[in-house]
Amino acid sequence: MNYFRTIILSLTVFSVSSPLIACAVCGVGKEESRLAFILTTGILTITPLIMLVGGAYYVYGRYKDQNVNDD
Amino acid sequence: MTTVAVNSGIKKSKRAIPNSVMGMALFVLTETMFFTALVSAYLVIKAGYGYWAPPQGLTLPVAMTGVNTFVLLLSGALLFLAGRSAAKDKNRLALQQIVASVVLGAVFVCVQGYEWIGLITYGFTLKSSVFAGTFFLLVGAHAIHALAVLLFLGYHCRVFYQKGIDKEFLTALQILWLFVVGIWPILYGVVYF
Repeated sequence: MNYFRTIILSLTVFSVSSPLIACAVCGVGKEESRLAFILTTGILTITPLIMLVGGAYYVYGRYKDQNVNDD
Repeated sequence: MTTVAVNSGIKKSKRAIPNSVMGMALFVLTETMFFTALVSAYLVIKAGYGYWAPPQGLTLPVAMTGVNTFVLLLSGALLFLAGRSAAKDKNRLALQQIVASVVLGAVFVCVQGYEWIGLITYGFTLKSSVFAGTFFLLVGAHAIHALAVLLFLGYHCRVFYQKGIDKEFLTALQILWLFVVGIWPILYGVVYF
């Protein structure tokens, strides 16, 4: 029964919804906006990855140094 | 985590990175993403506008803020030096450097406040334009962070004075303040130029 309800609900949502133009870049449609959007998306993707990898490498280095000192 | 044998024969945990430093590093990581998102939003909004400048007749206090940026950088450098002094067990000097760092940080926040009063008096408010809104959002978010960290630092100055300097916690404080100091030149470059 739940499965049937899910299908009905999904079909209703997809049939009544219309495309939204909420994206700042799509709304403006300028080349500068497109470039800024791509650039900032790239920065927002790379920044956490660099920080996580850098942090993990730092922690690994500290453990390694400590093990050498303990030995 | 490694284990070391102590005199009693009981093995005790020894952390490679203190909890306070690890916790602060994770907090700063999230703060970095917060400011990266704000700067990204600013750049995308700016790119979508043809005219992106303060209202005619008004100029942002670029030179004064430049000098203020130098004051903030000096404050960060002093806190960095305080960590080195504490590492050499020069606790009195370290405490003096921490206090000087807090004072310089307070000067930065006060000058920022003075600039804001000037801009708001002229009619450059959060509601006056998209440029003004984003300007106050970015600079204001930094100012709130600077003020909060300064209060935190000021409180711990007192604690360090009464109970002695906790080097691990000082490292955590350094991470936090150096983040606030380090993010400012980026915001200054993005917003004022």
